[in-house]
Amino acid sequence: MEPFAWSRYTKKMHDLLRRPLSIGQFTNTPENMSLCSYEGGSKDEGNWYRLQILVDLTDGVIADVKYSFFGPTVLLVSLEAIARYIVRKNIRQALNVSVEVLDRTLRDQDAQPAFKERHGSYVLFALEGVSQALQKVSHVEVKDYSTPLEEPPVFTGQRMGENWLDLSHESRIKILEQAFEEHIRPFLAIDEGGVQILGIENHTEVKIAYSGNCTSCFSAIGSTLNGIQSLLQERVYSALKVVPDLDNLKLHQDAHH
Amino acid sequence: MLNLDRFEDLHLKTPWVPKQLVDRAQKGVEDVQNLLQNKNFKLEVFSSDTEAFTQFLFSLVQEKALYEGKNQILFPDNLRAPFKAILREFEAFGIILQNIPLNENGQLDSDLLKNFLYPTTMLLIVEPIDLSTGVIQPIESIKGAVGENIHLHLILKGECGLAKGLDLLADSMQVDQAQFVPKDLGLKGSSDPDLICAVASTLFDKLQNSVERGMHLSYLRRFFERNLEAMGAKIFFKEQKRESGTLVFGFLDLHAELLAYYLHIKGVFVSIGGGARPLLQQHLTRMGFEDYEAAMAVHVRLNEQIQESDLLKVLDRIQEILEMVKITARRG
Repeated sequence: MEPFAWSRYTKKMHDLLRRPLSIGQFTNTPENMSLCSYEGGSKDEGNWYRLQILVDLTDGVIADVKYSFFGPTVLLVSLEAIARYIVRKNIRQALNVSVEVLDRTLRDQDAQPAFKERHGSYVLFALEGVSQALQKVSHVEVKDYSTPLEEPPVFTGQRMGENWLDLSHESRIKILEQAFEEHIRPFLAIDEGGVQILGIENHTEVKIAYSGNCTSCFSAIGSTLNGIQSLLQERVYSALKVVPDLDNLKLHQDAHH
Repeated sequence: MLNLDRFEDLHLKTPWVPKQLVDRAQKGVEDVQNLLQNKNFKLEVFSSDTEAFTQFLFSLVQEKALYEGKNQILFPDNLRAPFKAILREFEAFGIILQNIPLNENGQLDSDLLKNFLYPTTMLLIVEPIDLSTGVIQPIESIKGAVGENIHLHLILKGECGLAKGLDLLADSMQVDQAQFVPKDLGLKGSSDPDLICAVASTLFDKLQNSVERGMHLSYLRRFFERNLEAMGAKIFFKEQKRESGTLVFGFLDLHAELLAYYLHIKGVFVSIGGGARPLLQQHLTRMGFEDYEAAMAVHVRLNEQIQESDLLKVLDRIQEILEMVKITARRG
């Protein structure tokens, strides 16, 4: 452990440390809920925690998360980031949360990872608790179709495609690929879904094709689609529209992730 | 019992240190002379403590290794990293280094030390005060264990600055990092380890029992530690003879790095070691503390500007931290 590792934390990581919201433990389990717990690590090794996840059995959505722990700041950051991220996600989404996704939520600047290399083991160690704890409710049917995409933050920096109309087709595709790779695909992967860029029409219409679970998810033409469009407008060019290829969607009334 | 009559000459040697610092160091020497009842001694000033240490080692190794065939150097765990780094340079010349663990009291145990002594042992290097824990080493029993044939070298930097009458010396030491070294350091190494022991013991005595400032710090520490204990803290080395302003404490279920973080953002500086000093956690573990206990320990250094009211504010902040991380105060 490096002394004063926090000197290189992002502002968002400091915010988590200064206002941890989920430290504690549940003392009872409400009706129709399941309390999923996991205890990992060792106090002797300076990296112990107990994670409690409260799951709504009627729809498979995580209602609340609490944790107790003994460890350095990076363990608290990891647990708090996980707790905040998975609340109101469904259990399948929670199981697919990755270090990269958490890292994205904690960055101050797009290009600079929040977690340093040595932090990775702590984050994985904390994520292990999520998968272990949720085994108890692996049979629960998920009925929530909310998008895993985050609301795009108000972006004050220069957009990636500021001079969009002057760019070549190749340059536009390259910028879009970068935006998808950084801001969209890691989050769709939480739902075991994916998305490809098919092309650009009329300069501003981005045609996409979903893959994986996204092809059978209603939010692919609803909140996820809106989320992708908002992200591209915020990050790339404000006049962009996103048009999904409807032919590869397999939407049925009983479809779920 | 050490014989203070054996104080000899130390001399002040200042090859390139600025004149004002030389003047301050000389004034410091006068103060030391007064403190030591005008015994005649000299002080040597080097550009850095590590340079002084290197010069000392060269001369000693030359004498002991070349002429006496000795090749082993001992040092306890609390020796700071820069000094260890210099020692490692000598391994290339066939010098064997031996690290000795401290006991759970944070001290170099003289009985344990005897197990490490061989006819080939030339030198034992001791930092009389462990700067990480504040624990004072039992210099006289250590000296008794090593006997007359093994050179005992004490690194006094830092400790001297806390004794009454040495303020100017301490200042100059902090600025140019001069330190006490034996009079004939440049060529032959110290000829009289008792001299160094006596200086150390005198200073420690002044520090612990006679110095007004030391007493003030001791009082503040007792006040702070009592209140910390009431909040459930574990106080490390509480029963040991310690340098007045230093304490090590921790709370069950609160990791040292996290406590240090929260105190830092609240304007209170505590340390978990590292840099020149060993990481406190590793340091305590090697002494025999449980890993869990060692992982919660932070080091605090009080200074003479601190008042009780300041410490009460710190205690309030610690209470806020305990509440934030939902640690219920409990007796250790």
